[in-house]
Amino acid sequence: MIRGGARALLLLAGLLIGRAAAVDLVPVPPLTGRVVDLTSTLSDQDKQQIESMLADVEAKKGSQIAVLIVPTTHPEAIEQYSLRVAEAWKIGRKKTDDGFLFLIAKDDHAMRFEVGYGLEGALPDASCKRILDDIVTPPFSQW
Amino acid sequence: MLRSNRVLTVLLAFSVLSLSGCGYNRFQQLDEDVKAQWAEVVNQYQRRADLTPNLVQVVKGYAAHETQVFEDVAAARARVGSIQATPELVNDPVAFNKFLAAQNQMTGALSHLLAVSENYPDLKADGLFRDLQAQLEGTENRITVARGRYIESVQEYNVLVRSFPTNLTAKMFHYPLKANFTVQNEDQISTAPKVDFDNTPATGTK
Repeated sequence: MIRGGARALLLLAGLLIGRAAAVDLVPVPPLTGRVVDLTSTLSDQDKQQIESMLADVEAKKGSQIAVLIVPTTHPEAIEQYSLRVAEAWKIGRKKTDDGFLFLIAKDDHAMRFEVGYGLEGALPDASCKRILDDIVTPPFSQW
Repeated sequence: MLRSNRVLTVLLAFSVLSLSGCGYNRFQQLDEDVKAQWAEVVNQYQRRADLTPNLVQVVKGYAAHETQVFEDVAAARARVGSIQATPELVNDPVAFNKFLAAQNQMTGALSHLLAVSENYPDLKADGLFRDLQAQLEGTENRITVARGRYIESVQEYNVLVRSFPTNLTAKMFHYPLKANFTVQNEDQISTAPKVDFDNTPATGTK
């Protein structure tokens, strides 16, 4: 009986270790608001201001925009992580698939727009890159 | 009389079992799912093939003498274009691997093209080139996602084909195992193709 218990415990421990080793990925944080900042980069006031802007966009255009700031997406590439977040958060209207995620990996110095299928007509890859390179990056590099 | 009766009973039992309890409907679902995921893979590969002539055109404007790279891309594109990517491809491992090899050759040729472009600052600053490059990156990214989803979908389907008792259903209604991206060529794709600037054709495909 005791032996059996010890064995089960060992098995459990082994399982847990195995799991911990397998799940090294950065977890997807819960969607607590339109702006989720895990790096405490933004002040509460900044956050509120951005959130009200994003709410305004949704009220006028229908598309839902979320912002996520994480320290790093390592070991995943930013594209993989952002897709996981977008899939977990389910931003945007379901049928139109018009969600938009702005992901910033602060310590990686990486940014990405994850655009729902329904928004790709309005925001094709080329436009996203132009916006990121020409408009978003310059003020970021002044920080 | 007795014999034919017995055969009938067995047949009846078997058909009832295979239609309801043996995952016939599940096969329909998963088969369709695999088809849909495969269509997306092909779709994105096609998009990449469509983008390349424009990209080549722009690069040629700044680096016309890099003939080897253009030849490689043209050869890869011709090879990709020669293969009909039908939905049945997933049921034929030989054709499937041929398709993949052609696409991998294309991946190598395109990376080589972009690597060469790095040497031309004027080209890199060209607005059209930047747009096309962004589209290509986006497409490569979508290819990766589509492949990942296809892999998952085929896994689920193939497990059903192999498991008991659904394997009997698979045999009876002819649902063969479907070809999947193997670890080996996953490897090929996740490692960046080697770039060398001598005159050998683009590597990274073999």
